[in-house]
Amino acid sequence: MSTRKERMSYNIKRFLNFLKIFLHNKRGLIGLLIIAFFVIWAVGAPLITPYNEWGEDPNNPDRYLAAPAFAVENSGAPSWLRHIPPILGGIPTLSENMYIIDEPGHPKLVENGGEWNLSIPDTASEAISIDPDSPEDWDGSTAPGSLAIKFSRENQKMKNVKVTLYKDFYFPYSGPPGLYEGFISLLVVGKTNDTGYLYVPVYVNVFMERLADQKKYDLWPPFGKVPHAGKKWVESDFIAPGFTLNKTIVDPEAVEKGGFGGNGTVYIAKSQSGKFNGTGEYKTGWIISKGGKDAKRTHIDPTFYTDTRPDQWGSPPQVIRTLFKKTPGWYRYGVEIVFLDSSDEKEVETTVYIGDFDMWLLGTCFGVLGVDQFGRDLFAQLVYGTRISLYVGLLTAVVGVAIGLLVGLAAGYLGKAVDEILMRFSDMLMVLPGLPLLIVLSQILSPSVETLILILGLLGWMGFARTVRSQVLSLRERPFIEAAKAVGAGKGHIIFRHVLPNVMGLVYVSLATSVPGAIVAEASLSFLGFADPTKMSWGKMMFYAQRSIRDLRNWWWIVPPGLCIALLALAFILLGFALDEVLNPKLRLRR
Amino acid sequence: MGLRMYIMKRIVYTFILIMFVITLNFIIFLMMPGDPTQLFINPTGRLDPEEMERQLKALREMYGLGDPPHIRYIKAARSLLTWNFGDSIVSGQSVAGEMLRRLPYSVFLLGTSVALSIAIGIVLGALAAYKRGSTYDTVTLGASLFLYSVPIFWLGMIFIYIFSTVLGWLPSSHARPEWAQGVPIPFTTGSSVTATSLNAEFVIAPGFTEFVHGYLLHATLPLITLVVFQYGGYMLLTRAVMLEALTEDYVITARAKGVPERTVLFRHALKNASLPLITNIALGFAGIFSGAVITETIFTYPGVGRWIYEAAVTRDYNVLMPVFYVIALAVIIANFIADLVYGIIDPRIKYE
Repeated sequence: MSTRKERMSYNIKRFLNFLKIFLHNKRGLIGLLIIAFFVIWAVGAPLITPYNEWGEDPNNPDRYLAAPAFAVENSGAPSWLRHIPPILGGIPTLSENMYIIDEPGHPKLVENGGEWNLSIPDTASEAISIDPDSPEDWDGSTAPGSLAIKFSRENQKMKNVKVTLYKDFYFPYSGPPGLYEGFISLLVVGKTNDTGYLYVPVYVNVFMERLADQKKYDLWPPFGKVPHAGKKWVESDFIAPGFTLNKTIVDPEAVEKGGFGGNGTVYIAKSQSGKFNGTGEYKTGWIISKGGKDAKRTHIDPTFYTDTRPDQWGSPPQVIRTLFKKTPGWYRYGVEIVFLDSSDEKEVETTVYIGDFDMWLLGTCFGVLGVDQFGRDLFAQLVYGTRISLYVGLLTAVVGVAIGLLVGLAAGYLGKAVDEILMRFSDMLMVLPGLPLLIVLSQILSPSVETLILILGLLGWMGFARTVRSQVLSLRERPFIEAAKAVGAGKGHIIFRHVLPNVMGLVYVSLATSVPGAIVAEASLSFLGFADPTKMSWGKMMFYAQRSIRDLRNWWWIVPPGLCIALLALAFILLGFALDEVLNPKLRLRR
Repeated sequence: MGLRMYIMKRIVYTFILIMFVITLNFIIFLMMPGDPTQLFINPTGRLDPEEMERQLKALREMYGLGDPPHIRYIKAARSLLTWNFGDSIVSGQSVAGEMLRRLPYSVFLLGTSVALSIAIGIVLGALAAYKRGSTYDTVTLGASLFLYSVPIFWLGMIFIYIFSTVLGWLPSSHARPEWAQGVPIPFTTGSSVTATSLNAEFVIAPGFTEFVHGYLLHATLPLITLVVFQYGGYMLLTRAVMLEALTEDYVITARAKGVPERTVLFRHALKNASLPLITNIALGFAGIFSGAVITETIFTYPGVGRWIYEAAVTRDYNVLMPVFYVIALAVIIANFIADLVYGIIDPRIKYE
């Protein structure tokens, strides 16, 4: 009897020998390299991409990474397509994400080391005073403090005084952005009359302007005026398309009373520019002031917001595309604050505090493979999708081969009735159409990945069982089995110690060659939408692609997952062939 | 064992297979959680109570839910065997009637594609085996291996993109041209001759050739997809079988006699290789039907494969079960035909 150590060294030697032969097989090596590549993807996915399984930013899963596919023409495309000539299918008019504001937070003026300019009319220079770093703040702001613009006068009425806070920027892309997303927080404080109306109301208008021809588009608010405000932060229930007003402050009282339009729901602005969560509807009406205990909700006089400007309020892509028609060029982003001084009251005073003021132009292209219809990174989905495919493929192969091995050994060695029953049963299973059966079962059982693996394994052992059986049938007649029998070895001993080692070569080959079928089956089921809904896979990527693209224009969404499935399947087939050649030398001549 | 005996044996075996599928159907049906009628009745919430009651009664009667399991089994088997499938829960129409309307499409699509891909696969495979190791062999083998591993839905989408979106040559969905949308599907039997089919005569007015042309045009893309997907498997199979056959003694003898190479290849080698070929082709039928389901789904081709998808999406169990049964039945029949061909070709069976 050999010692354990000796056996070990023999096994290592044998393995090295096998490796030496195997590495000489070109096809097997290619297959192995491809598999290794995908294994690296599967294991190292969190290192390869900063996004999660669904292609979302894990820190901010509700946010678009770029303008989603179909928001505008060609949106959701991969970045590199921008640099390819149109003849080769490139799209030079794509734009990338652009943060207009370097330091979101409360706007800092240029003279204070910031990026914002402030224009004040000469006639009103005495009435306007600036506090660049006011401590007034709202709880959810990204940077503490705010910029305060105070209007005060004693006797002389001044009519309208317009103060503009703006930043100029250069838009370098030759096509328009896909969407925009911005926000502003405002607090309007001032002297009010007995009913809570300001003596000097303000008009606030966030705008984007093309400097070349001074074409200007208003972004917020759509109905123009915020004439009345109580003591605290102004909040708008209505926001312009694509424009987010910081709305983390919600008046609980108002919600309870069923305010905000009457049905008690609060429109959270985020869903407008973030992901559409099924409740995103535009509500008209309320602009609400809100504050401490004695905060008053002030309703805007309906006459104030009748002047909707339909020419400027299309869907967000329309607005932004019209404005950015002549690109590249210089643009201005800012807010106009108009103090509407028409009161006869003496010694009036109104202060506007501007907190977080930001603007982000979402590009029409992103990343390596672009984004899907929810603005999620497709490359991350592709990388993470490897996991499901490998998991299902390998595990199914193990289950199927194990069953096939047992059935094949039993049928081949025991023979007679056992053989007949097992083989007839496998013939029956072979007739079953796999995918239709999977579809039926997925509607009846819960469609989890593990269930799928089990079903695929139970349906995929027949071919291998036949191969093992025929091999065992010929092994049974060999002299060494006869010798074992003569010595008095039992059936179990002969099967597992003498027959099994001789069919192990087939096992390894079959392990490799039954993976592709499982991978494709899982992908097919996902593609039809019957697979585990909680997991992202290559098949599901194509399910979404097919769902949302009628004419399949976004080829960068469809091609990669299919190619990955094909490559991985092909790699396992090649590996199987190579193993077959190395482990079953009889076959070497044939191929 | 003569041919007659062989055929008798296959018929009995085929009948056992059909019973097996019916049993499986029954077991799956039993596996459903809760009372099956709860799932059956009104999953879409569209039916009024009266209709629900009627269907519930019909269902209970059809499946004999009050009966002990073995009686239920016999009843279920009888209703499937006698083509008595009941009505769809969603549309309320007879499943058997709809089946007859859809079957021609699937039979046409699958029959044509399988015939084409077998022909292409055998020719390419035989040539590859003959020119073993050459560039032709490497290229066709590589291409076949790749197409063999590509998922069929991807292939379909790529073809839609190329031929429909970019080139605009072929329609990407449905089986009928727009001007024939109101026309009932042809080859329909009996009961469905209605007002719409009378109108059809006016719609068909563009002429029979155009009519056929429209149908063929709509079938082209699914057909190409299926053929491209299927031929790879047949080619690999033929190549493997032919490699073996080409090393046999009778091939060497034929060559030594001076028989032309083409004759050696197709008359001597291929003819002998066709037996294992038929066996393996028959074994692959189940897989082909899976591919057909996906193809019909992508191209919204109104065959039986598309139907099982639609039934699953709408959770129409009343359709799902018979459709699965019919698809399995089709595989069994295809296998049976392959067996018959085998029996006729194989001289050992014929002359023994």
